[in-house]
Amino acid sequence: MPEHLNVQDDDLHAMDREISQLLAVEPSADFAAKVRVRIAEQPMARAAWRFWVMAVIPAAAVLLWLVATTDYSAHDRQPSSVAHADVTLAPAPGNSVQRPVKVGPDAVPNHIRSRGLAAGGWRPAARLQPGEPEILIDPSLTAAVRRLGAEQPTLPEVSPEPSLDPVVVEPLKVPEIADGGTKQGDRQ
Amino acid sequence: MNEWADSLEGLVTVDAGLESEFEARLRESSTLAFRVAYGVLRHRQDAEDVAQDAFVRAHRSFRQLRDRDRFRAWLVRMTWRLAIDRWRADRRRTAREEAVDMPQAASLEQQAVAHDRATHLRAAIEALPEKLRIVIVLAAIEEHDIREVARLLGVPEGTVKSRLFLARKALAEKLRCLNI
Repeated sequence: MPEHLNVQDDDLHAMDREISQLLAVEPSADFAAKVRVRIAEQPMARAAWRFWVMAVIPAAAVLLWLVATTDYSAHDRQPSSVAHADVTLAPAPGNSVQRPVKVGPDAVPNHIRSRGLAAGGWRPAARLQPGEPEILIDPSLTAAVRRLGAEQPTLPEVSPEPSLDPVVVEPLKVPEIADGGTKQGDRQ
Repeated sequence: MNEWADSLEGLVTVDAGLESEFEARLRESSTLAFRVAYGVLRHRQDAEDVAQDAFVRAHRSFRQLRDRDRFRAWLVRMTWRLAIDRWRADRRRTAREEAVDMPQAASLEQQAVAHDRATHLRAAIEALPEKLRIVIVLAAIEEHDIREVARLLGVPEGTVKSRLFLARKALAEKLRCLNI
């Protein structure tokens, strides 16, 4: 065998030995104990995972269902957002009325009643019929009208028809035509 | 309620036979796994952490790994993969633990030369492609022969031979370039 190959082989063997020395390290004495500890922690982790699966996920599903249904019903009631419950209004400062006045739907004039202020009292708003325009009233305006109703619990009486004097038509007086006069047709 | 308790108990309870077999594997293969990890990371603490992680995973799948050869091959590959992942995640490892246990040299000068050579050798091994690197590391660990390395890697012996040849050649060339 050529000499240079022998040298190369010797170098390679030396290199192999050096690599072996580099990697000749031993784990610590408590290596196996640490592995056992980590393995012992595993079942708890699995149990915790199973707990999450069996307890939390159904709870989350129920919560989601509740949110979904609540949201749907809220959407259903959307038109009634303009309807407000009865409120008890305190008298305005300087008002002679001492006691708060209960204001109900009857105190609000018919022409400004919202959909929720039906004549029969408070009730959920009905669904809009197709083509029916949705009438929304500003809540502040509604409150102002209620306040007005509280200050004037009874609206002034309006007579159905104004009393009018009977109309007297006097007979038309036409002056008599004189006998000596000529008629237009006679002249011709 | 009983079902819930039983399932929890079933999770904690492990087959005693399997457990004793795993203990035996742990005892005989812990050095192997640690050295494989150390060959990549060159950091004792990280190498131990990775090797322990590999054993924990092996324990999870031990029913399929009861065969000794299969277990060691699986462990080596898993440890190598975990170590490479850790090494890629933290490249700072390259600056760690440059000082290794060197054989006692006669003089300070010889110690310095040996240290330089070891440093360059580590750098040259690290620069090898992964396929060549794992072959040379496994061949150096516990003086595995080609058949054993082939078994551990699950590749033909011829493949191990050629990879080992290429790896040694690349290392020798690099060290020769450095005149070491």
